Amino acid sequence: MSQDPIDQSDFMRLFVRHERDLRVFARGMLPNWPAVDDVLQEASVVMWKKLHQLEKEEDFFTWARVIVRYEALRARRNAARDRLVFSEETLELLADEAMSTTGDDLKQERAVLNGCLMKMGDEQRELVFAASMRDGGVKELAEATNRTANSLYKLIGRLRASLRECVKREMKTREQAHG
Amino acid sequence: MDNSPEKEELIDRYLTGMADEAEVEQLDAWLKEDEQLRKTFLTATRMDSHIRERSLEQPVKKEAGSSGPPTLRFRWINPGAAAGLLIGLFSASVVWATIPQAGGITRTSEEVVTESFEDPDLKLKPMLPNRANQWFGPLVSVAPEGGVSAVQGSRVGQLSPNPGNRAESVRYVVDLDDYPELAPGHVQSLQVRVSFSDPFTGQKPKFRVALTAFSEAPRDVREAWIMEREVGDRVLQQVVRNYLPPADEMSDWHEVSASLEIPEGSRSVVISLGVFHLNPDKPVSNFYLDAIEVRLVDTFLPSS
Repeated sequence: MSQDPIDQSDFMRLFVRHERDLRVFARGMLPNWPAVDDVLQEASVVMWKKLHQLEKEEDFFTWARVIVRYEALRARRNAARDRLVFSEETLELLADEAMSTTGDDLKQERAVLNGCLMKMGDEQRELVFAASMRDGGVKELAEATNRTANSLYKLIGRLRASLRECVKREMKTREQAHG
Repeated sequence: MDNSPEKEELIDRYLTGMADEAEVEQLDAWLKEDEQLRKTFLTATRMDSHIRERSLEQPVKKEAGSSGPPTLRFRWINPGAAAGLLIGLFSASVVWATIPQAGGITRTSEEVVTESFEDPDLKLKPMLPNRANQWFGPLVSVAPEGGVSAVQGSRVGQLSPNPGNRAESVRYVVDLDDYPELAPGHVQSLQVRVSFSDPFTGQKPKFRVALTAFSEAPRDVREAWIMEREVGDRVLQQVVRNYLPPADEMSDWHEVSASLEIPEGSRSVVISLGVFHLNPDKPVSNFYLDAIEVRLVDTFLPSS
């Protein structure tokens, strides 16, 4: 059965629908959030220009990830002097691995994480959020609260670790419940 | 199989921006050789992404005492907004002016952004906006041609519609959370003024200034825009000002203004400046924009 060609208004709808998941994919390859924002911007322009290559809406997420991957590698080459980025070989390995994650996997993880966040105290949750608001957030928060960055990092690190454990446990329970 | 706590801690240091060069190098080496660690790393980056999504959804805490009348303070709440300005593509400044009115009405005006596209390297992203304080659209900065002079400065913005399009716009989102909270008895409006020019004949465009208030944060405006085209739960108010240049004045500059009273519950206002009524069968023209001025006007209406 033939499908109508995908036009630019379809593109906007598809991009908006998958943008969060594309951002997650890009984060796996890039060292910080500003880099993720930049790569997503560049990738969206490339997608817009190459929209004619996309045959089916169902293929959008896979197709878009290929473009994000290419743009992330390009950004890495441009930042080759930056010592805080991974090697190209490592990024390729991570991208290969990340391509297998589906939109449904991410949806489930988000739901589980929300449940785990709700189990935390308000102050603990706010600390976790404050640290992830922007890069260097831990250092800024430490200065604002007159603590050393290292002591605050350890506290937030423990909270993030307990969140990870909670998510791991809940995901395992869900898997067992669904056989 | 689980990874060692040492490796997991290093992943966490990397994701929170605490890792130094040696640590990133060490993590890189481990990731290269250890498939299980790559899975752990990607799980951690997904968690980090989900946490960030949630943290950005949190309501911004207002500063104590913000329930009083607007003050002359300017607060940057959204770090992205500040970064957008620091890029230096646009000249945004903050100027407050209080204008006394008859009958005890007080009007306070703040400059949101002025723009005359003076940066020669300026090239906007041709997409609907997904962040505040940046212009989006198919526009570049050029020195005007065809006997046209800039209204402000020496350069203008050249808007280039795609062939076959009947309309084209540049857009900008104002994040109202960047401005003082509105006090009781006050109403707020956004006023926009822009100059358009169509230096090349062949098209008879109309010019348009559209102002749309959304309940959504700037990053969610795009989705609301696509899903909800009419005024509704998320698109709270819209004002459209169309301008048809007289046939004998097509190559001149045409100043078009519009004002939107911002309804309660608004978080973002999208400014669209564009041309429409293009004939897709005729050659594509370029259009010029210049001397954009956007102001937020706060009016106090005494209850008596």
